Amino acid sequence: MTAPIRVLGIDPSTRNVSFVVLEGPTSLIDWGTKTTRKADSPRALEIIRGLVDRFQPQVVAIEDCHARGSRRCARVRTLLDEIVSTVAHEYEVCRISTGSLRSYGQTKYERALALAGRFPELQPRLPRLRKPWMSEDERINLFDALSCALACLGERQTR
Amino acid sequence: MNNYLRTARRRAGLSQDEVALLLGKGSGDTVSRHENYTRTPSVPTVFAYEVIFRANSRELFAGAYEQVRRSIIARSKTLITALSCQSGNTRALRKLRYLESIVEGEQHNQKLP
Repeated sequence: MTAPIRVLGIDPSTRNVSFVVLEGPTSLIDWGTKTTRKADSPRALEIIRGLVDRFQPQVVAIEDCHARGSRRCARVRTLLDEIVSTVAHEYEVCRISTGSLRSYGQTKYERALALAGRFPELQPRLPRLRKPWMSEDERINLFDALSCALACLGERQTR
Repeated sequence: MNNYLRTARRRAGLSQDEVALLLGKGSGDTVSRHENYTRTPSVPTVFAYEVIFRANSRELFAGAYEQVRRSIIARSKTLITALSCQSGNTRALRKLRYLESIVEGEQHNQKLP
């Protein structure tokens, strides 16, 4: 019997770094959101380095910010590229395009709802439905990190 | 990963302080040390974790179990080499068969007194 692949899904945002650790598509090992308090890329990189050292994943899954449909700001794009350059020589990096995340739902909220149903332990983290005047809830990044990790596992299975 | 205590605790929806209370410890610091692999729990604490999280210790401490299993297999191989010199002896042959089954990873349901 082979051990399931451990995937670390990361989704950095303006002030936070959300992460999930999966061992196979059904086993959620750890999850959380670490704050950098402000737009602080070096601190975010330090947090990611700590996560990678702790969980020692086989694959690190992040969003492909250069793919069509990605709407990340310039700082986060640079940060995502820095993550790849920091982690890539030790671990396999899987870049997931926004398009491949759509299999879990068209909108971020739909995806979060579907994933909270699949992983009941994440239900307390599910944000409220966003109204047009509301800014994006930072809890949604956790579900983005999870959908990246799941999409990465799906890509590896189809190979 | 050395252990899955944090995963089991978070799935159960318990805080470190609550688990510490169930373990009969003063604060969540002890639980934190166990989760971060800085301290190895004692045998009664391992059993307590089994009861709290309703999982067996081999699953909860999967990394530690694997590490111990590998070292036992390595030592069994050493003992097999030492016993191979006495291959004419029936007792030694019995021991050799037993040690080989450990190396092959067989499960023995040996009844203990």
